[in-house]
Amino acid sequence: MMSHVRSTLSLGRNRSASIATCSGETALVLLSQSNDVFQNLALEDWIEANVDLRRRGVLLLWRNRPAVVIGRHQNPWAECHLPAMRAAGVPLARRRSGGGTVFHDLGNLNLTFFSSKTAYDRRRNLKVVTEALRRLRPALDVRATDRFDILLNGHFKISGSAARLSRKSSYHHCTLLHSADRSALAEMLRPSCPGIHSNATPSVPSPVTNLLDHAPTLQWEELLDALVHQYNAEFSSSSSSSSITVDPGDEAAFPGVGASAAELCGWDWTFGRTPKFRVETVLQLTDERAAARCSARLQVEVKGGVVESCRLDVPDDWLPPRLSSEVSGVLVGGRFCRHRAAAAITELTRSESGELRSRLKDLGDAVLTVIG
Amino acid sequence: MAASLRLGRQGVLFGFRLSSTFDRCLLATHPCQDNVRHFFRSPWILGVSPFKVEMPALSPTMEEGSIVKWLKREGEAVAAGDPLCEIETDKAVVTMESNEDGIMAKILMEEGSRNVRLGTLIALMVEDGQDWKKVEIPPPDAAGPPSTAAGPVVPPAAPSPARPLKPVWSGPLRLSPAARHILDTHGVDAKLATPTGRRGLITKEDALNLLKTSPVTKPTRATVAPAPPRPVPPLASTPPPSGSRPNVPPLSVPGKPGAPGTFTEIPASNVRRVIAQRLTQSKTTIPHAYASVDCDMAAVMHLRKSLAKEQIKVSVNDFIIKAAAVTLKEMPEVNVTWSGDGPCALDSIHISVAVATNKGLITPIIKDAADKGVQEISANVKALAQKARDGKLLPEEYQGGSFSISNLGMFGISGFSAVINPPQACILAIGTSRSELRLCEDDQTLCTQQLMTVTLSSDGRLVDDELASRFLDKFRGNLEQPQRMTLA
Repeated sequence: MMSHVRSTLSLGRNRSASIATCSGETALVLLSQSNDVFQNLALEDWIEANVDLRRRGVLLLWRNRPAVVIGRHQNPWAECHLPAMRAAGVPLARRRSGGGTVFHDLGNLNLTFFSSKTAYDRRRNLKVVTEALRRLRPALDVRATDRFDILLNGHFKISGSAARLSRKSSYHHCTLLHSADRSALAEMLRPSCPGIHSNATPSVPSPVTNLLDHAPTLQWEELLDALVHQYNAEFSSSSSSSSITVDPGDEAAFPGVGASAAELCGWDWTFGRTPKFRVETVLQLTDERAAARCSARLQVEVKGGVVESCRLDVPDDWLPPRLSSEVSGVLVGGRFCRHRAAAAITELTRSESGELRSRLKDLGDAVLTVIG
Repeated sequence: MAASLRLGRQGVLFGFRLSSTFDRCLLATHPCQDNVRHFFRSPWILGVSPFKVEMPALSPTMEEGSIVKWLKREGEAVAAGDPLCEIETDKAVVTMESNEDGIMAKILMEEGSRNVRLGTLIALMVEDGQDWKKVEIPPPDAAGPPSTAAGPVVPPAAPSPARPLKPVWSGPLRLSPAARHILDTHGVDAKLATPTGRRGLITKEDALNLLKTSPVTKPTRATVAPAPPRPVPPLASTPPPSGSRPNVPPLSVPGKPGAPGTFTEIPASNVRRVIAQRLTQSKTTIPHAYASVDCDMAAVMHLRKSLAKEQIKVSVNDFIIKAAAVTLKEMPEVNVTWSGDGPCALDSIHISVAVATNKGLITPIIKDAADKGVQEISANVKALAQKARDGKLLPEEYQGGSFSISNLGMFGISGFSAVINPPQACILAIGTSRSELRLCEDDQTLCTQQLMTVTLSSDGRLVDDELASRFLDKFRGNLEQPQRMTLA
């Protein structure tokens, strides 16, 4: 264990801007004490906007309670299973950088390398991680690829990257699988519904593994220390192991971070920013009482998370056409969101009765399954 | 302007716009008198010329990106340094800033556009103070990677973005030499081309544009394939196109046959074009060395006859294949491939045999030919040839040979030199057997000999003349005394 100095940033107005104005050539290492994905993402944005990165860089280390994080330009319905997430209480977040979908939990370490636009070098950043791992466990074969992933034993992905470049500064963040829950990962990262056609950035699925599975004695703290030390060795003029613990919920230290976090968990950002897409799928409808079944076709166009058009083709003998067109009518103009759709369809069902009612309810359920 | 002295008013207009189409446009549609007025008024008639906003290179290796979001709307003011849009490339979202002050006039690539290549026009901006609604929108083909032609004129009266008008040129057809060559090769009528050169010249670009729009015709073989004085040279295996399989020549990998069902895909090729390309590649990159020898076929013929009496049907070619394989086994330094800077020995002997089909030449492979008897080789060749003619060869049956044999004896060819199949090292070209009178030294009588000329083309870097000569000598020995093959 390396000895290190960890200081906590104290609250108080006189120190509120100390990170932003921290001068000096030494690279700064920050450790987030929050496990809330939205707060941490908001902190990333704050640092990028407010810290002068021209002369030195910043490393932020953070981890979240279980959450699914999709890339800027992705489609959540295509990338993750919203019902499973809802059942498990796993929130969805959309980050501002590009790339694919990741599952965060307390066994998944996030590293964000902040630098100026000219000093943006993903390969150098990943070298910090691979070198640190090599020093800790020389027997492990860790290598960075062209796509800025890190592979263990040439085959298993333990880290993926994404980045964002703005006017003057940039950040490159990556994950590092230490001891994540792989079954939960597999459970959450599958599409909510089939038949999605969109222009969104697709994720590239890869087999993953935890560092702990291959190096059972590697502790979390040990890993953090090694990374901090290596980062300083690479980016700092002095080699130290100091890091500063920060609280992203501290409005005084990071003015505006609360509003930023609120925006990130809003529906408009998370779902409303989905690029235009189309869902085309077949619904299997059953009538328990009559022991009958049939298939119906559903076609929905969604723009900005809102249903632009909806077309339901249900056989006439199953449901009167006016009912199926009412169902599609009630969906149009509203958010492509289960709660909203469920409420609207329940209204409709209430006004019917008997056999029609149960069939209508079954149709409603099938549509809701598609929406996730 | 100097032009004005020689050409008068027309010269002034020539000099004013780079594109001569503009010139033709105005002259054709307006009487001369108006030209003077147009000259002075032109900035307003021509529409507002925009700054082009093109997909930028955001990293040295970036080739394309997606437009994630536009941060400025049409009609909104933009200052230099203001963010214009967010672009996603290679897992990074990058904010693209404007280099100029101005007003966003037209967004050409909407949010969500994916795979936008570098240099593609994504938006247009105009200078402050100008009417952005009247911006001149370049037609789609001018919107490609940076082009210097000032877009054709769009007078506000005619709102559609005009393509260059086909001029009324009643003189003889004028083609640039490059254009002439292109159109002749593809058999396309030059009269269909839209000339954009001076005085009605059809330029190379016009010819290429015409090709793009007209249905693609197969270039005649004579012009595409380098016209060799030698007859059909064997080359990299080409599976005859059949209903279910793509028209694809596989890359032969000696010693490492492709896994079943795998192909290497080369898009948009027809057999001939690829044959030509492979031929050229082989001939230009491999230093060919040639050596010929005459083989006395008496023993082989005799053996063949006696086997035929026992109802075993083998052909001379089968003996040749066996002899070549055995010789390769005895001289493994010829069973090599070029590995970039030196020979790389192969661990097995697979002989590619050239088979002529009506779709082209194909070279199915006899695997481990040295370990097979002539009868087995014969059966293999027959089966593979039939499969080749039916177009049913599997990739592992034509991918991965170490040595090729091409036999043109059935066409009566006395001798020829073949082109090596890269990455193999050698190819043996077999001619026909001919009778020759020879003086027998023993008893001073004339006897006839059945001679067959074989020519070995070898990769000079791997199998030089000396090695090739020794190989041929051994090969001839094996063929002239077939019983020697039992030693290997």
